[in-house]
Amino acid sequence: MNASPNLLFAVVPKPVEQLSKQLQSKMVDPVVLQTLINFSIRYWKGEEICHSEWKNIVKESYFPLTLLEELFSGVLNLIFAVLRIPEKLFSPKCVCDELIQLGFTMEQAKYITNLKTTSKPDTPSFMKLLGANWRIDVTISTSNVCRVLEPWILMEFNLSSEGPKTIHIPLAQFHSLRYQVASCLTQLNKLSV
Amino acid sequence: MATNSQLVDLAWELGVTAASSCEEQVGQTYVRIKMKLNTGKSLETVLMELSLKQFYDLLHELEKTQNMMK
Repeated sequence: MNASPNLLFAVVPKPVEQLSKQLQSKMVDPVVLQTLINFSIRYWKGEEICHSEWKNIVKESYFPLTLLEELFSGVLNLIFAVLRIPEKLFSPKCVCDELIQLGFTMEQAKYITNLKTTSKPDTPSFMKLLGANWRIDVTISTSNVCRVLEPWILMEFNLSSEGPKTIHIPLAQFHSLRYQVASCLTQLNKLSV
Repeated sequence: MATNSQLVDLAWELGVTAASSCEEQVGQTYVRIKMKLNTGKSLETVLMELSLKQFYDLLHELEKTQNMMK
């Protein structure tokens, strides 16, 4: 395999070359190949592939372990290369053609190409603030002290994944929060300029 | 009715809402009750806020219970 596909690799890695040879010799069972593709996707998402699943596919494929590992390495390299193509450069038809050149069938090539739009890595992300409400409460009296007359700020934050969270902010902390928000806004304005 | 937790401590707070982002809450009186419960495994703190009406309803139920016990 001398000619290297343009979008996927500048230079075709050895595992992908090995995979291509095996695919073109029609030695690889489509079910085994599909399982390897699914394993690669799960690996990319950060999921673990347990030992028993790997043992099952070794048993089903009738391949020696070393060959199966080489095939998996090739599939993994290929899937990662497809998923790493920048959005602006991604052309489903070109990627499909390159995969067919490597030895995949049309259906398999389309399936891998579609992964680009359907798969997202399981990266942790912060919650988003959807809304906020506030209240200024004046405590008149408590079970411990008769006359208090202390103001508190109650804030309710609506978060994207967790729902509303209510926090009690003493006056001193509220002034500190105001100062931090004002500093943040100043920096934000400097950035936009 | 769950009967697992025991009331260990109770504290209350009476206040009024002086201002709010929701206008209908302004001027409302509230009673905040903090209860410490012994669940058997640990001490849990339960905080609840009652409007004046809800507080009077609770008071009514507690007084009914007290009368029954007499």
